[in-house]
Amino acid sequence: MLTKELLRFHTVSGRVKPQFIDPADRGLLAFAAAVVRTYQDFQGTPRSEILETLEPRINSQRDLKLARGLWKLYDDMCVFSGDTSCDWAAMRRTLFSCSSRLILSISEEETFSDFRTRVFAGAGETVLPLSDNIYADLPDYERLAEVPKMTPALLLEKYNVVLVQSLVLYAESLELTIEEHDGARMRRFFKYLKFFRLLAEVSSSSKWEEGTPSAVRMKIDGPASILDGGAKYGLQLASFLPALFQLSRWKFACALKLNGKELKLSLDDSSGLTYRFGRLGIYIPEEVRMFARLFAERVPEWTLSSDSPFLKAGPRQSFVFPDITFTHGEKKVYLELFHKWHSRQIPERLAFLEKHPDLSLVLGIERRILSSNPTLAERIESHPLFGSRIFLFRDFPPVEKMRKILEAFA
Amino acid sequence: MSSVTIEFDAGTLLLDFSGVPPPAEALAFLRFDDRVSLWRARACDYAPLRRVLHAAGWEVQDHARAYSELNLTLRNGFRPMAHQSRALAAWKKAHGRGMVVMPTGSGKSYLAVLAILSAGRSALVIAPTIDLVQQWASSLRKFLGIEIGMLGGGAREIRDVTVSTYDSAVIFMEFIGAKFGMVVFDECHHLPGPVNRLAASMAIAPYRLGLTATPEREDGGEAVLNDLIGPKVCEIFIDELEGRVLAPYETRRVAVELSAEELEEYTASRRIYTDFIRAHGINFKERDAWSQFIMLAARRPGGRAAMNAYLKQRAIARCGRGKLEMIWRILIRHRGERTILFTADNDAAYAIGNHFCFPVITHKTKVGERREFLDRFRSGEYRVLVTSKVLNEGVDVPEASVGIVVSGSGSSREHVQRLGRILRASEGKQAVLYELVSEGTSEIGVSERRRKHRAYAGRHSEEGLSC
Repeated sequence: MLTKELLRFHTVSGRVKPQFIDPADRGLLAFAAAVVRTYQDFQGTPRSEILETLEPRINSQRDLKLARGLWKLYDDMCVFSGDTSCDWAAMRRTLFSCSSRLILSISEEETFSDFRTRVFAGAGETVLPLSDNIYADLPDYERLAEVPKMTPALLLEKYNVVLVQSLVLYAESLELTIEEHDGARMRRFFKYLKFFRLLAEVSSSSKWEEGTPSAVRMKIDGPASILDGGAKYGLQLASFLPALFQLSRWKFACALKLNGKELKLSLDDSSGLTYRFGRLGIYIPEEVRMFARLFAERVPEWTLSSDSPFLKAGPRQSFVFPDITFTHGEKKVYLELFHKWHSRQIPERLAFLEKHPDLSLVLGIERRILSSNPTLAERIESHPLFGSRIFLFRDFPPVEKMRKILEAFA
Repeated sequence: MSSVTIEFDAGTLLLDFSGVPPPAEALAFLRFDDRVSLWRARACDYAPLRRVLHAAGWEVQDHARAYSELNLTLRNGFRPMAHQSRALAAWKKAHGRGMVVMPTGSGKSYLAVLAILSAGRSALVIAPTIDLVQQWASSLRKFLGIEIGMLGGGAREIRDVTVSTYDSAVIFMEFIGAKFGMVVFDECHHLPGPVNRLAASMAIAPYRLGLTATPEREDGGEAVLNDLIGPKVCEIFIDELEGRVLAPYETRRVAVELSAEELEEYTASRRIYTDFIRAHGINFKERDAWSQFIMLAARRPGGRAAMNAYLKQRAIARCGRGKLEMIWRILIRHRGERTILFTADNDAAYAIGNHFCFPVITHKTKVGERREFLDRFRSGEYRVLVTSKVLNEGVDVPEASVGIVVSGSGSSREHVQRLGRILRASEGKQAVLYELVSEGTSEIGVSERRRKHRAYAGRHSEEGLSC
């Protein structure tokens, strides 16, 4: 992210206009290329030396803030490591023991330069590497170990995305309108929402059907937002933005509290922001991986896929995102797994399942949830579909149980 | 009887009244959350909410509370000193919610141990730095005789009694905010910041104790402390404890002359900088003046030169040759005494460390080496320690008797904290805090500002040590 002093934007009547850059700008491409090349050429060099080399180039740029921003962006992606060629801490121990011993006998006539000479002489040859700088292993002197695989053009493109993310750090919530016909992208969008522990209040949607909604309006913020506002979830909102930028049609608006001012920021897909700087992969929990492996071995007649459509389950916050789809010929069965951290949705889902018994949806519920909530436990165990469509699991879903449930569908 | 279910949800409380309107008395704490169709409340309002619901005759199914009752006994304890008993009684009288103001070295940690024992609930102690967290862990282990959990500096272990940095507490509170019935906020003047306050608002703990030596804030943060911890229940001043609990002390301001060359360079740089701020109408009495300067320095002609000039004159005033000479004179005068040197910035700390071959602790120091430096300083193996700001607060170095403020801010809180580092009493100890001020520079005004505190009244002397 860019720090506050590196943010570039104009304000017009309280509206923030980010100063995007043209990724095809030849001057900027040349500067970005110089940054990338310097880092690539200076692998194994201390950070301070790289900066020293780049400093004149950075300072010669007309827009110093932009130059520093691009440099920071690239530097943040690099990996640095300390100098391990010698044991700096051990050498310092020897040196300080000596200085502490000698300081007891300093005299009025002695200068501190004399004292330093005496300390190094007393500590012996082993501490010689410290003579120029006792703290030469500080982060400033760490050496470049790895550079990112990024072209100058991509660095400029990424700058625009990061500029928006860095502004959204100061937002309380996001008002979104999205339109997407690709179910996989939409699913990824909602899964990201869940991953960043954000909540969505869907105010309107159209053309919903099993599969893909075409347009959705929603407000996104965190659980405590309605209580005390503030930009508490700014980092989560900013981190979530790439999931928005990969949709076909989107627009968002948010209020920012920046430098003591109340500002507004709104953007849409015409801004050209996209996210293609790494995988926006979906996290697959270990228990699901393990289950998939065992299931494939033991129940070969059904195929398993994590590429599931999502289902609308109610008027608000009510999307069913099955974790797994089982396919047997034309038949599809969806499995949604519940863990303690999102157990709050279980009562709603139980009601949904009761109301839509025709839907091929199965619920797996982590057993741990029941022990801490007896009321919910009773509700689950007394549900008419408990056993046939709802089951409990400890670490990962039991394969045999799932086979039996699927057989009933077949 | 009507029934309500309370659940802890990501640092907040969710209340399910099963479609029935909540009692009117509870509405002050509640907001209806359309996103989940339930009522929501701040986690820190757990105790008053429970009381209100109980008084209104509602049956509460409490799925929020995840903290346990503890039956701890005091190990290696001693009879509390009179001021500690007074503070504990005041906190108990306030139903275990409130802030105690006590000077550094007067036994705040032991007071916290007594309060934890009195509350008898699983407890979280939150402190600003990893050094303090380690110090708390060691102290709690000694007095409670149990293993202590730790969050921060790479550790992520939760136990009945756990210590955490503010940073880690903020990150983890949405997951652990229901696990502790008591929270101790060490150096609680850090709490009112917009981020740190989450460590208090996202926890359900009914028992709360705030500890600080310097509660003064200039931003109205007292109201936040009152809301999230409770009112100030007891205040004890340095001069009340001097000579008994704290070492007798004196403070000396030493004027340091810049060399002719330094003075010339300082004056020239200062002029470039002040000309720039005057030309652009920057008024440092205004709140965002510094941001304005940074912004203009990046954009306007002459801005870069003004910024370089600002940094140059500041470096000369903060750690010029004259100050290095003066440090040396003071070290000769106090040969053998444990001495801490404080600077305003890391560059100055490392410059001094390199000039004199002394250990330096800043936030850049690795945890292991930081611990080693402190241990060796406490044991007497190291006699001098240099630090920027990380040792301003709390870290226990009782053996230090001489402090040298080489440079610092105008904050009286910072200055009192630095004084506190050398005040812990021991047999025959006389503490001295030196303040080095470069003559003819802006440091004179900064020094005047930071000395405006009761701790300095009537014990100030000016000194002109010759180099």
